[in-house]
Amino acid sequence: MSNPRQPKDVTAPRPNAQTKWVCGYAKLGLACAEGPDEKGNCCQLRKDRSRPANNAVCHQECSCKDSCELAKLRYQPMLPSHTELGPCVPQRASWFSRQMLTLNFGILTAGILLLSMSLPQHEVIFVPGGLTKDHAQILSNHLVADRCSLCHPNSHSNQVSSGIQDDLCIACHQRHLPDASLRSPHDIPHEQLVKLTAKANPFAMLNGKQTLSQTSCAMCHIEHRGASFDLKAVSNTSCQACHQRRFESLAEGHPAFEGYPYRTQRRIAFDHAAHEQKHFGTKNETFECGRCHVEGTGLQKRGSIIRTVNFEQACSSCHEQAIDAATINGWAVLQLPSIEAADSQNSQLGLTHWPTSAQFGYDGQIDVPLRLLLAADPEMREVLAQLPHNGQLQQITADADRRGLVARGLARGMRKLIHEFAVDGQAAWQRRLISTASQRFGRELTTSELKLVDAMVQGVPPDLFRQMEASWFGSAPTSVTQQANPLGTQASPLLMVSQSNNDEALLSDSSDDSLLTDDSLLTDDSLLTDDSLLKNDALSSDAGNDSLLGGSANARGSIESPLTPLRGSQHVAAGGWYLDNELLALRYKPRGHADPTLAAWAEFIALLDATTTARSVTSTEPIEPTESAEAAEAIESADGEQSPLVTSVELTRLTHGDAIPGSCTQCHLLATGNSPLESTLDSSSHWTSLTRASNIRPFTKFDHTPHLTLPALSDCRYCHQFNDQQSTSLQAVLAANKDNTLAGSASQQWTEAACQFLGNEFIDMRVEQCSACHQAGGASEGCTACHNYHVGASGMNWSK
Amino acid sequence: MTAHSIEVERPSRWDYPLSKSMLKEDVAWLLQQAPFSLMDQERFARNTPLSDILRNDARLLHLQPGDVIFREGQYGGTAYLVLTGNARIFLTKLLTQADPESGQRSRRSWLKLLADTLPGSRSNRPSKKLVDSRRRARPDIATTSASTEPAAVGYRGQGTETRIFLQDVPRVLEQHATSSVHAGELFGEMAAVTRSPREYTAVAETESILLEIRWQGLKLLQQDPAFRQLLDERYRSEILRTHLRETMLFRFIPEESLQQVVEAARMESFGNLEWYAEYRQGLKQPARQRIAAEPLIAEEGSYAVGLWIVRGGFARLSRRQGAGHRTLAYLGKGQVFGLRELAQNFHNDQAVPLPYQESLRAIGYVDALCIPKQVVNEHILPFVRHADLPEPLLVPRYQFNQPVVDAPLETNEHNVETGLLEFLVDQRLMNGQQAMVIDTERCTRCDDCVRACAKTHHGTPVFVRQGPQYGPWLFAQACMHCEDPVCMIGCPTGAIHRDHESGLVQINAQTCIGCKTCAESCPYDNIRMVNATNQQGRPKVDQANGLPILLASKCDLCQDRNGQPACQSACPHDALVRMDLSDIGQVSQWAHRKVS
Amino acid sequence: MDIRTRRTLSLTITLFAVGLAALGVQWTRDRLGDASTLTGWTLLVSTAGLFLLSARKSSVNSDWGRVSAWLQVHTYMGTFASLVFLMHIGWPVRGLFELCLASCFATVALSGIALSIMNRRTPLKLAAVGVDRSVEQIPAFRAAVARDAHALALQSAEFGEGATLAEHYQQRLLPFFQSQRSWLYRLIPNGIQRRRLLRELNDLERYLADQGNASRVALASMVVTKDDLDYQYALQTRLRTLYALHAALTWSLALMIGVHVVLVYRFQGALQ
Repeated sequence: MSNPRQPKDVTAPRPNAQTKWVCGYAKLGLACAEGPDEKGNCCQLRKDRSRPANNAVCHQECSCKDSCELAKLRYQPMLPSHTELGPCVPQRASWFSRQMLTLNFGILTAGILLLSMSLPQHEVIFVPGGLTKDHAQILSNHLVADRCSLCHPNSHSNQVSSGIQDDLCIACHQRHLPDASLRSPHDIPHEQLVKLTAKANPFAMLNGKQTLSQTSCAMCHIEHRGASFDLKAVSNTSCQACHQRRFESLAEGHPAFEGYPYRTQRRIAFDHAAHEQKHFGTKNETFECGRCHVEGTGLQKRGSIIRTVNFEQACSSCHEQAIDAATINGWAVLQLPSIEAADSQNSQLGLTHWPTSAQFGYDGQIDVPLRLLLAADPEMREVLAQLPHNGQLQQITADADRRGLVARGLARGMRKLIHEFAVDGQAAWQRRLISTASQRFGRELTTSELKLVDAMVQGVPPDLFRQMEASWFGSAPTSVTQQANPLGTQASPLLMVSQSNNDEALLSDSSDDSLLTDDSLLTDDSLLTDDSLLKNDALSSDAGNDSLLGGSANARGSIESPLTPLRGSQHVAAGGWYLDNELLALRYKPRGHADPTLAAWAEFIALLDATTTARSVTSTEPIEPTESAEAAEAIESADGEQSPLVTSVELTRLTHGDAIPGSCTQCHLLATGNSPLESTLDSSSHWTSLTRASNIRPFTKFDHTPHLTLPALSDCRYCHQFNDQQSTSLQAVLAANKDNTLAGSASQQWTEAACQFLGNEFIDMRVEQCSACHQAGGASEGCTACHNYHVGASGMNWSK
Repeated sequence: MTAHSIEVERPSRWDYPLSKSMLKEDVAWLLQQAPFSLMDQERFARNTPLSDILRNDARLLHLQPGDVIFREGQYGGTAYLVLTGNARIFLTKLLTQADPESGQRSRRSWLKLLADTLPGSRSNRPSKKLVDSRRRARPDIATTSASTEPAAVGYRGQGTETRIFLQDVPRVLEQHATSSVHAGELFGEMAAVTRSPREYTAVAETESILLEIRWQGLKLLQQDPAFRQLLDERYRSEILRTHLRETMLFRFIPEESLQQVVEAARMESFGNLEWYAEYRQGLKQPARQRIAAEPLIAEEGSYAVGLWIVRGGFARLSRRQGAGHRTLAYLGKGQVFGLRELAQNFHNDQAVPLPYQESLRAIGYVDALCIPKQVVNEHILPFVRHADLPEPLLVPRYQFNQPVVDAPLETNEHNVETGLLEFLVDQRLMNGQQAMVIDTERCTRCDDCVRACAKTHHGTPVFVRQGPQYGPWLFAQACMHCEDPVCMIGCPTGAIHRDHESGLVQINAQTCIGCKTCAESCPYDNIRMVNATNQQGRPKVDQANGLPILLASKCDLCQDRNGQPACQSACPHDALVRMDLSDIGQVSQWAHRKVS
Repeated sequence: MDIRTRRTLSLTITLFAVGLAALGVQWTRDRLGDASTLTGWTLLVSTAGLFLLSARKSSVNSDWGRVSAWLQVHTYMGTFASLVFLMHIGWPVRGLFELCLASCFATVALSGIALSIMNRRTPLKLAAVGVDRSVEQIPAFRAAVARDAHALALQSAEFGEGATLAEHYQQRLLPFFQSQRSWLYRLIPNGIQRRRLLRELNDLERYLADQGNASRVALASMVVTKDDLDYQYALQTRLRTLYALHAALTWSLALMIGVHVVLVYRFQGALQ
């Protein structure tokens, strides 16, 4: 099959695919030989406008008209003339029109782009996706034109500075993410991070150098993914980018839990097992966790921690009576010792006005508060050092002379003390307590400690001292003090009268002491207070004032109405200070559980006790240079064998357990640290059940609420199982320590033993308990379901 | 077309003489030398006097001993007349260090030097890519066995006058069979006339003066009968001998036998040298008649009288099929016909001699040698090794006294569809060595090839993406750089010529006078006349009559560019190739390439 | 190299590169890196590589190798870029501008795929037509055929065999010869109308005498010629239109990519 050849026309131009314009008559096969020029003008027009445009004749005599279709076309008899054809309109060649189309597309696109950039709403066009709800809401207050630059500082300037966007993120979010090291993994400071990862795979260090030291927010929190996108969603792969010890899932290969749930410092010595089996069991009451552990509401709902209810709700039904009973007779803060009558005659001793009712031989008990007050007097140190641990003068049996010496010394000190009190009132107490404490600590007291001292002396009525001095020692105070408080002088005889009526009651009270120290009752005292103790401080101090005033009112009332003999404690049924003229004592009647004054005293004593323990441990070492000059001098001037320091150590060691009525410390574990007050400024935290800082985001997070909805988990013991291997109960521990009381370290030992017991009360959780539900196809098994990336500042100790 | 035309003088024939250094004195001296002194100047036409021919179509060469005049394989349109001194023609292949095979010098530098060796109007062009030897490696052309190592060469002269010379002439001459050319003798004219490559290397033996004559001048000089006689004698004495020696079949023939062969050989021509005119007429006839009209060289079934060797042009090897003739192959230069029959008769004495089994017809024009049967039997076949002979024919088609069995039409003989073969021969496409073939089953008609061509050729394409089509194959109208370029025959100035090295057909725009002869003589319509433009693209117009100055334009295979021609490299779909259609193997390979 | 071997090799290399890119993305994600930066730059570089084809096409004189080799590279690189593109974009694409960019890229990629298929199939269809006409010539030939048909129809009326053929020509064939084909035909060239017209012409046989039948046959062959011309024209213009779309969108794409890159780097939060 061959193609008939074109006629031999050696001058016919070859079709040129490169020309831009094609003759307008080409479609009719009548294209002129020359064709249009580069600008698309018809050649005929250009040459001569007068000539007809149609020049369509075959320019070569054709030899093969039959075979040439084009030639046939040209020689058609009905070939239209140029007038029929109209003027030649050159057409674009196909490649040229394609090129023009491309150009037009480019120009159009550029135009649209420029137009949309210049529009005020151009952000809407160029934003690569909607913001999340929260961010969008914030930005909705701004002008559209300003929105981008709020988060993209580089967008409208030519300066390219690194990481500025992160600063903008943190500027808004630092309120709930306060740490400055937010940009490093788990908020670990860079130096620590380098130390931690030094041992890691060097390859990881190599490729992770940038990421380790600085990760930007946008690496995990990706914006512009629509309103409902979860910015905080982080995939497991993201976590495993750094974590070299990889594992498949929680069920497969997750490292075993160590000490989880976290052992927070429990302040209440509550033996769950004993309560369940023994105490609730005997009363046929069901032991339900939910009775005490309820979910916090409102402001109390901190994170996911289940709170415990307060004492009134949880414990008072069993323990309140016992506490009330223990404090019914008040607490003898100060009680005169008995001396020989001869001593009062001896003017040289300065005991001339010693009450006659306290002249039946060297006898009496010097309680802890009194000792603390006396210890401030340098003269008394030596005397106090002679005292036995329990403060009973009778126990100094070895040498009668020595007992007399001690008793006389004490009596002198007390006389001085009482006079000082009568003159200066609460200030004298404060002075003495501060002096004792600073001597013990070897430093000045901190603000919180001073406040504690304030709380101790708060409510101590000064006119009681004047009355005391007047009625016990007969020597009237100076007229100045009388004028200062005329009420006191009026009240004093009345109180003296009432004093004798109280004798029997007091005796009977003292006989009840054995009952009050009943172990079983005391160990039941799980004194649970809520954290509103501080808040109650003002109220309780008011109450203290009221009781004082109430006492005065009673005194007034007694003038008006026939006097009814009342026992001292009954005068202050709601709590308060009063004089026991019969036994020559200053007593304090607590108002039951959570008495602020008593709490302050207990805390103060615990503080001293803890310090003493700490220092006795280091007592073999040389005395620290921080020791005050006075203390050093005192050591020099001391008897020689026993330094005042050691004396004071001995003084308070025995005190703690029994110093405070109501056995606060049997349930409230106060002295758990070396210096508890320093760890937290909030002293009330010693009394609350848990001490967890609210602003800490731990590495592991847990929310009880969703778990408790599961029937299987509604019983807390699914996760929190009693440690069966802990054979002994807390009560036994207490008993064991009680025996050691005389050894001189009862309280501290008890605290430590109790803490240890509580720490082991429940066994650690195992991964399997979680992964039973948290596995593929079950509940979420993502890293971030349990772990926080951003952790609190002091929450984790990574260097471990 | 875009800008206004400029008026120039219409170019004419001797505007660019072969050498500007030919002075009047030189011509005067020449006219006193033989053979020019013997010529009758009156016999020459008025517009082409002898002195003008010598001045414009010839030049004098002053050569030192050892200077290479031309080398085997080069193309050249000139003949050489020895005036004084002596020249040597190497009958065996002379391998020199300057040859690409020796590989001692970098390709580009030797090409450059070579271009400079042969001065002319083209020699000072910037060095350009020359296509690798486009001559087919014909297995039946002997490669010399005698030559030992490449001859050492030196370079003499500077710039365009640089010339290669042999370092140790006596030793080289000792190693090779040569023949001397003495003063008054002519050589190198065959290559010029037949537009084929030089068949031997020529070296100046002594200090000598040669007259180099352009082929066009040679043609004019033939107006002198004595000179024409000289040419004829020269041909028979030397060329034939050289030619036979080169043929592989004769390589072991002793010298004296060869001499006998040369003397007995009959040189015959068939058809018209300017065959394109007949061809165009013949196209209108049916194929059957066309073949029948072709000059018959040897007919099938007739007595095998001799051995035919094709010297130039193409011969059709055909066999009668039904009422027509079926083409089996086409024979080109150097290929032999009748050897099988003669050999079988020679080795098989007692049997009835075998007649020719196929017919041999001249396609257009064929130059052939006939060596009679007796000479073949006596001087050739005894010296031909069996390995060089074709397989004996077991079932001959034609036998004397036996009926002729009309064989069924075999397909895929020579691995090419017979139809394609017939088509190629009918259209004379087998002439093309660089034919543009487009596979229309791959071509998307994007015209990228045309555009690329236009870009490389100053805005006008030099081919048409149309032409004869066979099946999916379109043979576009692009210059095929024919093995036998008939376009060159009529060129009066030698503007259309073959490149010295590559043999590509080129048009020298400077010397082209726009006479349309080449365009009209091209049987494939691949040369068109275009308006000549100056450097700025302004069309040239004759200042005398305002008619445009024409210039022949055709594909130059992008010789100025590196790599493939622009059309081929621009094809995005591998649909366009330049192919040597005279090589059946190449055609068949491309025909059976895997089409994805 | 064998075409099949070359194709296998190129495909292998492409898939290997895609796998490498995917691995790179995974590796970067595993290290909290910004995978979109990686894919973005890969995409940018490979898209720039795609533009090299048009650069090669526009410069004929340079010695940069064959366009067909470039087209091969272009095709495989386009495949690679399309796959990397899928890795690069988030799904769904958010933002008006990003959507425009993505759809522009997708259009270019899809038209490229369509082109690569049509580049193979159109020549086969064209080669099957017989006489090959260049698209520039076709209108002229079409006009010639229409004119011939018109003349023939007029002539047939003069033969005195009634106006059957002329009427038929007037009603059925004239619109066919004189008008362009519908856009649907240009989109999907088919032989429906050709077959219907030929059948109708065939049905006229019984009403025509010898001369009329000769004219009818001639008209039928003209119908075939015209339809062949239309077919070739539709095939070629379809290919050229698609190529024009493919090429025209690339510059829009380049512009938008530029804006996209500038925006990304201006607004990037995680500048290290």
